[in-house]
Amino acid sequence: MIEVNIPISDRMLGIVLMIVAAVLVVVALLIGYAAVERWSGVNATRSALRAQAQGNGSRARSEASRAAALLPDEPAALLPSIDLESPSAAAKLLNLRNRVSDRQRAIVDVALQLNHALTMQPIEDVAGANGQLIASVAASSKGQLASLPVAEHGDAPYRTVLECAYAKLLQVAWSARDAGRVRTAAGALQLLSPKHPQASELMFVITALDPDIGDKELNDSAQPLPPERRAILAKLLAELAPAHAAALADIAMGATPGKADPKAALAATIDRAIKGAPTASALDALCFQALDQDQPELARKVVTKMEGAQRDRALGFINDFPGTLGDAFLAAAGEQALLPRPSRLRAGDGFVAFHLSNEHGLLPKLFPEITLNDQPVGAAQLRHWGSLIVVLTDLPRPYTITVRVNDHVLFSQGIAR
Amino acid sequence: MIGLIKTVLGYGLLLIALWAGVTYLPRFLNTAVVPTNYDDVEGLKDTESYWLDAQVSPAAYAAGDALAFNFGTDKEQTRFAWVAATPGQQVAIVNGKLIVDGQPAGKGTKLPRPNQGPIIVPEHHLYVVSDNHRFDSLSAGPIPMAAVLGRIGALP
Repeated sequence: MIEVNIPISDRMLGIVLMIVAAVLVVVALLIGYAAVERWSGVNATRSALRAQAQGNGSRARSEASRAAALLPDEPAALLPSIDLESPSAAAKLLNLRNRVSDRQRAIVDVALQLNHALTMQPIEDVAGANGQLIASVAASSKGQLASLPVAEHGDAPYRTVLECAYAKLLQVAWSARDAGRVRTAAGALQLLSPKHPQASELMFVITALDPDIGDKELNDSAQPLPPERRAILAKLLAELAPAHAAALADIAMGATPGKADPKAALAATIDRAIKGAPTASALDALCFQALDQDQPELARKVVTKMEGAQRDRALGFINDFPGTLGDAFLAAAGEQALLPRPSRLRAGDGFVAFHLSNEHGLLPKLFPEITLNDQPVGAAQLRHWGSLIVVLTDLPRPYTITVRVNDHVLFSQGIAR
Repeated sequence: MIGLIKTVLGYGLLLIALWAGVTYLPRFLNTAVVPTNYDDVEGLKDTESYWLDAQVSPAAYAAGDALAFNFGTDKEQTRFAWVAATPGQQVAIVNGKLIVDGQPAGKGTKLPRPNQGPIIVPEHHLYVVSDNHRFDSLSAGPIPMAAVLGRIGALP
């Protein structure tokens, strides 16, 4: 056996070198782990951006959360996971702002100011296109109608800020029934996010508000929507788009514009309803609509689905009013449900519009007398599609509109400046 | 002495090989299948494989550049389009035409849709168009740079 005599100093050197090597291996492993984590975070961030661009909201959110967990100090990874409409987001953003470098602070500042604008807190000045858009969001959040800012060439805002500004403006313009701004904001939002969750609705709105579009294109744009949603939107759009009001009224009835057959449409609706489980109020509405169309046999069909007092009441109407129920609007003073009532008035440039029907959707057969500042409105100034009545006027605001049927004042209202 | 020179030369050659591999190998690996028949872009009947220059910075893209993009990881879903507008430019659809900064875009046929926009192309995004618009910005909006695979060096 050969004995190796290694001096103690050499052994110590070996041990020290081994320890150093072990430490270096641990450091290398840590660096490797951090690199893999960073790579995964960057990948998740990119996936979130791609999913957002494709309109896949749930995947975008889950990928953003994964990215935020992996890279909590990276604004690009963390920001998509923060709900900027939540007041609690401000604390998270301030915390992030204190951790990031000066170069990255700008994007956090934009997000923070956007959060302030969305939660109706005072905003600070942000430079460039982002600042203009955030000011627009702040105004919209307070219910004020803003204009879409036009950026100078080369000044690009962040996509979230842009999308938020368009969506908020659309919301406010829709509430204010401002057709011009609705069209601008809906068009911009659709062009920016064609895969928006409400993309079909947006396309229908843009098409309906384009006066140069034909009935066929308008009908085609409505078809992707579910029937109930299509009907509601078509009725609301008819007020904003007088040029297409007739076609929209047909679309609301589920018919092709220009080929509407209200009787056939109602018969089909009743057939569908009685095969399902309609509510009591839906049965009431269908029964009255059938009577209004002089179709008592259809009304009796509806009655077969009614029970008890509702059934007796409906049969009473069918027996007492075999003719048009609309003429009996005012006669049936005891039946509040039969009295016509107006919708909220919508006043635009050169017109005032409203719907007039009772709570079952029936229209008065006697056309109401309409006066503006006590001056009768002539037939040339009136447009009438279904329940929608549009009065064209060049009177300067303020003025008062009064609507009567058989000298009975249905409503009288001032149109403010 | 000769031994030392041999060693230095050996390491030098190794470094040069490493540099060449890192620089040029991705170009060979980074390819996209793009159609050569522009009338049937999605049919992919006549296709060729093209190198992608993935090192192009976002700011270097210009209108008219051809690029490949993909919203996922499936290579079959790689799309091909031309850049119509870069960040900060305004895009609108007016009378069936794609308008960029007030001028008709070079690419883009008559679009069967109502007037829309203008919008500003956001930061880190490109507005791209292809021939039939099924998978370009008209159907998906401005595409994020995260989805861009690279610029196609040479067009058929």
